[in-house]
Amino acid sequence: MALKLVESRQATEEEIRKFQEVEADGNWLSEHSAEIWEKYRGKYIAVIEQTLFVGDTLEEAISKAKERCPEREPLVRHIPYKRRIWVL
Amino acid sequence: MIFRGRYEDEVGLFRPYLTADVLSPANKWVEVDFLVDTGADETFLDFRFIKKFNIDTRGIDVKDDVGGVGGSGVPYFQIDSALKLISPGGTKVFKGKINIFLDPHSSEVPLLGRDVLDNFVSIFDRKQNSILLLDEKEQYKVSVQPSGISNQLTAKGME
Repeated sequence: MALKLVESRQATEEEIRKFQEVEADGNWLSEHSAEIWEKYRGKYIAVIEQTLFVGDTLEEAISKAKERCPEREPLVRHIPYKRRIWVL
Repeated sequence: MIFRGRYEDEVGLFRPYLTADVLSPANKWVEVDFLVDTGADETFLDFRFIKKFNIDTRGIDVKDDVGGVGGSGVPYFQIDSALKLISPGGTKVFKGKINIFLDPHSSEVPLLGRDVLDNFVSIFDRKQNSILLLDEKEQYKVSVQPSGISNQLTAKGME
């Protein structure tokens, strides 16, 4: 069975705090994405607390981000060398 | 409730993303950044989540009834899970099966499909850098001008 909506409720204070952290990082990545995709081709990037971490591997980028903030999952991207169109 | 995503400029390709929490097999909520994909019938996680969720793929029930531009017979499997969308206005929880691609070439990113999206009015507005998912209690309006449809789209909570 695919995902079904089972609950709709008020967000808890913890959820709202987490949402604000994630939204801030997402907005930061959105604002800087053009520059990042131009500058870090072939690399993996991770964003946490509106800070960019770069690695040659996914694990390296995540590891650097986790040093900054161990309890959260960073936003991660692979930046390809060449522009690739996705049709999913 | 309104759930917000955002566009990212990936070398001139503007892609819509939205972050949700996914319940891992270890029963921990994990933040996952999804590509919002209205073309996907269901929600999929990419190959990396096999390792991230520490899933032993030996003996799993491999399905291959997914098709798309990449062809048909794309291998994947399912896990019992849940997905949570959070906004200051509220939280929505979805439960059921989440699909995980077995092939790293199937998708580089998780895909938020219509099993979730069909519960909302979905608004994609690249010019305003807005991805909005509105639940049934929200209202929106598109202003139609004599010269055509304007981009003055308003939803409760957007003003």
